[in-house]
Amino acid sequence: MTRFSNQSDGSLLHLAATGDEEAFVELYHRRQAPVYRFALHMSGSASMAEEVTQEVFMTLIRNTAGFDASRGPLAAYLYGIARNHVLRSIERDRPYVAIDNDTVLTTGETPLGDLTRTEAIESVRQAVLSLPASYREAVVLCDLQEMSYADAAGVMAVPVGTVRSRLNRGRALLVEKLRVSSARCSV
Amino acid sequence: MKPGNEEALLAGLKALADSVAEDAPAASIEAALRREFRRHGKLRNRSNFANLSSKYFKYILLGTAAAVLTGVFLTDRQPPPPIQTKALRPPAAMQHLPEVVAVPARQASAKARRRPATPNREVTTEFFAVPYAPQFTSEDRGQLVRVRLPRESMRSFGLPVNEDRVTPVVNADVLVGEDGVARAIRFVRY
Repeated sequence: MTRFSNQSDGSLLHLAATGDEEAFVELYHRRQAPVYRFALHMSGSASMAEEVTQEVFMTLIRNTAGFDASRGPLAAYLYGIARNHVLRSIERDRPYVAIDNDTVLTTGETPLGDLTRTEAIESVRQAVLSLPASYREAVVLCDLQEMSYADAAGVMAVPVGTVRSRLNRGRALLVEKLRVSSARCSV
Repeated sequence: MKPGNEEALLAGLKALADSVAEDAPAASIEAALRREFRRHGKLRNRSNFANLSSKYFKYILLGTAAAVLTGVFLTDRQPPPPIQTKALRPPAAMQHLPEVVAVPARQASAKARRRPATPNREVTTEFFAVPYAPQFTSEDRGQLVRVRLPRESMRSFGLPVNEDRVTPVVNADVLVGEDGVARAIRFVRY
């Protein structure tokens, strides 16, 4: 337990704004993993996810006043920054093909018992990555990050109804993609 | 979407989420962020100082200006050092000169007033009436003009001339009446 364990995110940010480095590090430890995983699910690239995570917290360092507690929790604010960075990075890297090893299925090293499960997870991952960005972020935020519709709406800057509709549409597309993928494998 | 498909999909998404549940960015990112935090802290401190300075700059400027003006004002208010005069006895023929009305000296320029005060070692004679000039009464008004005359002109007023002095001229204050005619003169020696 650290001296910041009972502090809220807002208090930590306030301390960080006054120059308390350990308060900032505590805030980073609390929020870096969800931000990283969101970026990882959205981009499919560990290196891009790390880059985005770093940019999110760099932004927080440079502009602590940018967070307005009355508009939502700090986590949603960080997701919002991450979303902007991810979408920019995806757009920027669109002409290139990702060759990250962490996204490549390592079937040769996987025991036979786990092969089916690993293949299934990889299929879902690829299906998610193939979704249009607007549907993908709804699926990632609500299904993978288990965020509420309201918080997801805050991150995506759209009404809650739009989140619901995009999520439904995204799930339907995923089912369709996975069905086609399964049919190819069975042929 | 069929209920069975949705359940299978959610199970697949749950498995995907669990597969990266322990994933986290590299420790090097934390180190980079710490460096950036310290660097930004220094910038913020400088910025705070600059903001503080700019916030109070006008007050600092006003205070400085007020102090300077007060200093100048007080300097101006100090009375000038007294002129050390040494009265010389004029020739007997000049004793009947009328009273000379005191004429205010011209105001010295601001630059001259700000000049460091140096002891005024000016010594003047009394006024001598200029020969053949109209009578200057106590009701007359005039103006005092400082001129430089040949040192030899002192002889015409019965004053001794120091032959050893290097400068061939001497300062004199000439009293000029309103008609522009010189009425009296006194010599000045430093």
